[in-house]
This record gives sequence, C-alpha cells and structure tokens, in this order.
Amino acid sequence: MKILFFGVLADVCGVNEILVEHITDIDALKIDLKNKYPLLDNYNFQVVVNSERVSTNVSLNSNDEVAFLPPFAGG
Amino acid sequence: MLSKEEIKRYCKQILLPHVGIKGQQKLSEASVLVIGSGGLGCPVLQYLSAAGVGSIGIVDFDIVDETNLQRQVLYSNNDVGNLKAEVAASKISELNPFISVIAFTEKFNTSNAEAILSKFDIVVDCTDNFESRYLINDICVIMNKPFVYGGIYKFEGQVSVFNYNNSATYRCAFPESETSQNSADCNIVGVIGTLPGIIGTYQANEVIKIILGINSVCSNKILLINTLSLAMNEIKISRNENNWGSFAKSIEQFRDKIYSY
Repeated sequence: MKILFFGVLADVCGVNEILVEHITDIDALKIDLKNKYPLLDNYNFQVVVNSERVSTNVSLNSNDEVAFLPPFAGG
Repeated sequence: MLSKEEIKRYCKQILLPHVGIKGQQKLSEASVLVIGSGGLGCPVLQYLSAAGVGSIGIVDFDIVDETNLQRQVLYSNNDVGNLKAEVAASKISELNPFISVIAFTEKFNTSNAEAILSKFDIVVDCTDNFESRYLINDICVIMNKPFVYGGIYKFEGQVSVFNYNNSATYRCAFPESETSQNSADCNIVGVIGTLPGIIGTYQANEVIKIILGINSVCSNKILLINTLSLAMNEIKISRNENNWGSFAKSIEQFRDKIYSY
C-alpha cells in the first residue's frame, strides 16, 4: 500500500511516499511508521485514506493509498 | 447600478456567462474581509480589487519589512517601515477607484473580531499562525460567515472554503492536538514568492465563485498543491462537531477565550 507524506512530515521522514506491506489497519500503520520514523510522534497530522479524511481506526487493503496531512500555518 | 465606466472596465469578465452584468453587480455589492496582507493577502487583495469587489477590508498590524518584498508583491522599496494594511489599502484603491477599502491596523483578536467582521460577508484567512486560524474559524462559525483558507509550507499549499452553506470547518479538517502543531512559518522555513502567489490566487478565485454563486466552490474538501512535483490532490472532509475541541460556542465564550497554539 502506498503512503504519502505532506508538508513537514515529508521532511521528518525524508521521503514523500513509501510502500508498506502486511498492514491491516490505521493503528497498526501508525505504529509501524512511528517505529520507522520516531520523530513522527512529535507532529500533529490527519489521516487520509483514498482521499478521504478518517478520524477512527479503519481497516486497510493492500491497494489503499494512505496520506498523512499536517495543517500548514504559513501565509 | 453599474456606471458606463464600470461596465467598460469589467467587460472582459462580464463577457463570461458565469459573470454577466448581474454577476458584476453582485461583485460590486460584495464585501470581503482579508485578514493578513502578507504573501497570501497581497494576491488576494490585488485580484479582488481588480475584479471589482465593492467593499474590501484589510486587517494587518504589521509593518513592511525589506525581507517581505520578494513575495509580498503589493509593496515597494519605499513602503518599508510603513503599515502593511495602510499601504495595501492605498495601492488597491489606486488600482481600482470604484471600490471602497478600509484598513484595520490592529491585530485581529477576540476584542475586535466581532465588530470588524460584522461589516463583511466573506472572510479570507491569509494569516501565518494557528492561533489566528482557530480564532477566525470560531468567529466565522459563530457569525455564520464563510471563510476561505490558504496555508503554505515550503513548496506545498492548501486551499479550502470552510463554513460555507453548513460545510466542514477548519476544526473539522484540523482538530486541535496535544502534539506540536508545527507552526513553522515562511520566515523560518523559507519560501519562494510564487507559492503564496498561487495559493492566494486560488483563494481569490474561490471568493469570486462564492459571490457569483457558482456551485463548484472548494468546500468539504482541501485542495493540496505541490509546486515542486506539480502534484494536485483533493482530500474529502465533512462537518463533524465532535472534532471541534475547545470551539467557542457563543460570542460570550469567544470574547473570554484565550487562543494560544
């Protein structure tokens, strides 16, 4: 499944997108990503599954696209 | 009624069936408050004034600094040291003498927000910090005004129209969080002037669509634009009051609330 990082999260992770495997829901994905990129824990972001913001733990399929979106303060 | 001079001035947009004389009339009767006249605010002010939005308010307490000039394109060398809202008001009045412009040279806060906002129909959030963004959200929801959000980070921008015909709000999209809100602004992380130029232009475009009643307004979604990769994404969001956290539910609560993020 494809994971996209927006804004400061792309800086924190050093990548704009990665592929992950064998992840079945959002909570597991967050744990996996925070292990890979411990600094993620310091940031506030929204989770977007297939272009739709989700606020609860939902199950994921291998062809889903998950984006992590922080708000942008700058103007 | 539009004068002959005005009809001539705006004829290129009046030609569009989406505008016409009626649409131009709506533009000239509209009132828009632009909060922040920096990187986003400058293009918003230029395009709204040029399009003939009849009444424009500008809120900014800051003064023009020479480091603003690479992106805040309303200002010139000679303006350094002067109040942004006043300089901007004078520049756009010169651009279009058919509109009325008011400058508010104070920080938009819980004491003045209600009085300033009561004179306008639509708000444009061109600020550069989360404190102002949550504050603008709350007063716009309380007073039932749509607001057009723009935010930037390095080479990425976000645009959305919040609280439009009961659509999702800023708090629905970005609930408060205990973790860092990453308030890094352009002064810290760097920016090329074209990004706020592009995002501010999208904001002005949304304002014009709202005024004209065009039904493709960017509400219940966030538009994401990356000026490096040229990727554009749309994220669907929906109104959900469970996400509103410490939202000030009434004007009384708003006046007493301390916004700090």
